[in-house]
Amino acid sequence: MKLKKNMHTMVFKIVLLFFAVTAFATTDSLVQKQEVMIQKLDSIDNSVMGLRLGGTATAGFVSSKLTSDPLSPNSPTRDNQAYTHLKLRLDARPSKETNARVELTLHKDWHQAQEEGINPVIGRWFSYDGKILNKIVDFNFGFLRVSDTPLTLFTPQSEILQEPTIFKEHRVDALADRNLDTTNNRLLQGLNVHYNSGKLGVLDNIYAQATGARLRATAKKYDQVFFDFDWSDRYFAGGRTGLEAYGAHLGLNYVNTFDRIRSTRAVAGPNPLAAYFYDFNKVFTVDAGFDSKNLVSLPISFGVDGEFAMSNWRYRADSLTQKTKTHYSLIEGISRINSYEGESSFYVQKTESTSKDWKLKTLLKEDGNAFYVTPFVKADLFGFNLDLKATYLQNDSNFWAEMASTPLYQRNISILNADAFYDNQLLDGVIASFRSGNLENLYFSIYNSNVLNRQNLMTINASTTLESDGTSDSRFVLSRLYNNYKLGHFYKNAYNANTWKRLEFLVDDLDPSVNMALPLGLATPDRQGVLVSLDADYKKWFELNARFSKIERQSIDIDYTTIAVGLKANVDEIFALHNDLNIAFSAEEAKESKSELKTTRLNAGVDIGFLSKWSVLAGLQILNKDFGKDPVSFGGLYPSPDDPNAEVFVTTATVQKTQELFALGGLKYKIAPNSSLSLQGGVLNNSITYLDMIGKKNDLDIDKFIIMAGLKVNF
Amino acid sequence: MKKIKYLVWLIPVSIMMACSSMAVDNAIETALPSDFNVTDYALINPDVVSFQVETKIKESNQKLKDKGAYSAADSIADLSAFLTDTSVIKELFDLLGYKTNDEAWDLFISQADSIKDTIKVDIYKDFFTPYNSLNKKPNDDLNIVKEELKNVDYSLVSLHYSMFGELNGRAYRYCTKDDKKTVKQNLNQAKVNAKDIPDFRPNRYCQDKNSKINYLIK
Repeated sequence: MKLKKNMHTMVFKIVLLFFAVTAFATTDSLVQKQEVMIQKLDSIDNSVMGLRLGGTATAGFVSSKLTSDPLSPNSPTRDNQAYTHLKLRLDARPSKETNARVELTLHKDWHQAQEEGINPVIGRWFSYDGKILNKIVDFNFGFLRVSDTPLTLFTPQSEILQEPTIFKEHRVDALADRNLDTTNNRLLQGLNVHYNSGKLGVLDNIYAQATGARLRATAKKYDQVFFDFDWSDRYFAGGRTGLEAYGAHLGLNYVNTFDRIRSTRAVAGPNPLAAYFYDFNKVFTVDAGFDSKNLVSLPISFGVDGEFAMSNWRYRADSLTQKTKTHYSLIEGISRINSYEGESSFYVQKTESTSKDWKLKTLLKEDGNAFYVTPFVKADLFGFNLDLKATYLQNDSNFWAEMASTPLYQRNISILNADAFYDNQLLDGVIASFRSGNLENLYFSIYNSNVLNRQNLMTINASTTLESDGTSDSRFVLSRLYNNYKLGHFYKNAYNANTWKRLEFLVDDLDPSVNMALPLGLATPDRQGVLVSLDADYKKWFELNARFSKIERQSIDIDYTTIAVGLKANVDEIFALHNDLNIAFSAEEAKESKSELKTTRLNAGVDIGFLSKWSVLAGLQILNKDFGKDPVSFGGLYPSPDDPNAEVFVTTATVQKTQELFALGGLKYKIAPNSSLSLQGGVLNNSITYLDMIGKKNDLDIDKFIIMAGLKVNF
Repeated sequence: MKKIKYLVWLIPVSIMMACSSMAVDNAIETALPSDFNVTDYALINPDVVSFQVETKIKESNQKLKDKGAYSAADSIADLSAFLTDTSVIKELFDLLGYKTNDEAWDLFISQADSIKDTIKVDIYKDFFTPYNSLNKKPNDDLNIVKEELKNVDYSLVSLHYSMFGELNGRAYRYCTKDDKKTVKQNLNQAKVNAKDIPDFRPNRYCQDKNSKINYLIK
């Protein structure tokens, strides 16, 4: 029976394949045809009940050779990664409507093959999804990616216009290592239910959506594999509803993020901390929009989108405090006012009893509003395709929407050559902050599976929290416990799905080279201004993108100006070639008025396909950061020249500018759609211009030569 | 559904509970007569004040006894020294608010003696013993009483009226000219409740400042 059913599917697939080939043969390139086919076949598979296995297998090699003047002569200079990485996707379909997905990762690090021994499988994705009740209700349970509106539940993305394909592939891979993607959806673990009525009388649609998720709260769990569940975890609950009719829509959205007070109290034990701090954030928004395209289909359409939000933020401390209760009671005594002999009477007795009671105190509270409105025009005339948008936004300084604001690119960490050490004490601070750079962080990710022992398990510098007395025994006595099949999977990856609480968000920690004006997207607090964006193309031959924004930060009177232009020529489209051939270029400049901080990003990329399966991809990106009037100073305490017993703070280096360059070229052989063999090589330079102790201008160059080879197979 | 019906009666109860204040302070304010004056009430009913002093002294004596530092023989000696110091006892009698005129003390002594002779009850001893602090000289005993009188919690004095004084038919203020019509008749103006405690409510009483006679407030 089962075989017969599979046969039917097979026949259907083949027929469809023929149709698809004839339908697309004349217009699209071979690659596109293949991809469309894969999608069609996938959609057939998706309706077949049973178990389905898929995934990608990658065998890769990355080598980075570091050269830099202040590097210690004993420092390792070459960082090699050789690995086999398998991402296994299991789809189980108990019914036509629902699908249970489990994704597993197997990582074999050939450099540590001996220590690793037997390598366990780790689960990276568990979800149960479906479209039920005649496809009017969607649900996701487990891992999920959802977004509501830009001011409620959203993930702001960093946009790089006309990013060279070779770079984009690396960025997507780095994000994927963290289960992230390039959409505005937020990665959550919980339950999402979405109802769409479909057409109902004059209404086009009525929708309602509810989402609940557990969030990770504490910084200590940033990259720690253990003790994942913690009572200090935060929770998120959100809902929205709205209707669509006559090309317009109106919606109400609500999100609430909160800490669990009662459960924290319940497990606090007899000796709780002096105080537990909680962060509560609620946002209520109304969004509305209109698009003439939904009303009448014309070559030119126009519309508007907008949202108004009110946020409520509370920071509270909960502590166990001594509480005194007073009781009043009547007790018998002798009254002698009527006769000296005395008679029985009653008197009030006050007794006090003390008990410990939890007291929740609000330390900070802020309420704020935010709104944006985006009118837009779209046109499709004489081969010209145009999309013009303008956004006006006005956000109070005390507006806070936690679930809408935290970006994925969060911090600058050292990814390549992280084990290298430098030998210039005066430049310690500079190297700690600038040894990697934005380009390294945007495009690289290293995945290690390390054997866990007491040194890398809950280790704080040299001491370990597991040992009670570090002096009585060798600190390394348990190092030999390595081969217990416990491998920690570690990432060196700048992307993260964590959300920031308001007090965790510090503007100074943000890398100004990414979204300087709106680091938290449209929900960035304390902003007012205009953004204009234009995307146009002519017959897909030429593409033009332009961005302009002038954003003011009201509370401290500074403003940001961003200008960006992107151009792309699709030569393959112009000459109707079967192989890819395109060249792209983009430039972006962002400035801040007060400190004259300026970042400039230039991109050039070329994709050349030949012999139908071969392609050459190349990209160049240059990022300049000029800190202007507000350079970054580093220093330390040194013995005072006047008093040998005293120490004075000495500025050893003042960083004025950095220039990063990333050039990468590669050859790729396409085995099948999403399966390829590639060889890439390039340079990643970071040049830091600083003033030394005596004010002399110097350059610190950190150069990395990179070779990457990989085989990626999709199955 | 059956369960819901069963729970319906809870709704008015919960509303009442939600609206009623549990705070003691409010209870005092609402229960006291509008012309209540705690100073007058304390002067008219000195036992309410002296009870607080007695309690304090009793507590500190008990602490001393619990420590085992003081034997029974010692405490008898301490007490007799106190009771025989007539000047201290006389001043104490005044302090506690029983001295109304010069004859009061003589009256007290004569009454005490006569009772002692007839029914063998030592009123004198019973009256003053609670004010003896152990391990203290008679003068210090007096000073302790003076100190405790300064520390009297007048909120408890007010609370006494609302919790017991009103029911007990205690006079709470001095009488005005209009009040002195009906003399308080012990028990005749009271109901006796289930616990055999006379309940004078809703009657309220005042006291004539000079004669110390209680009258019914009309």
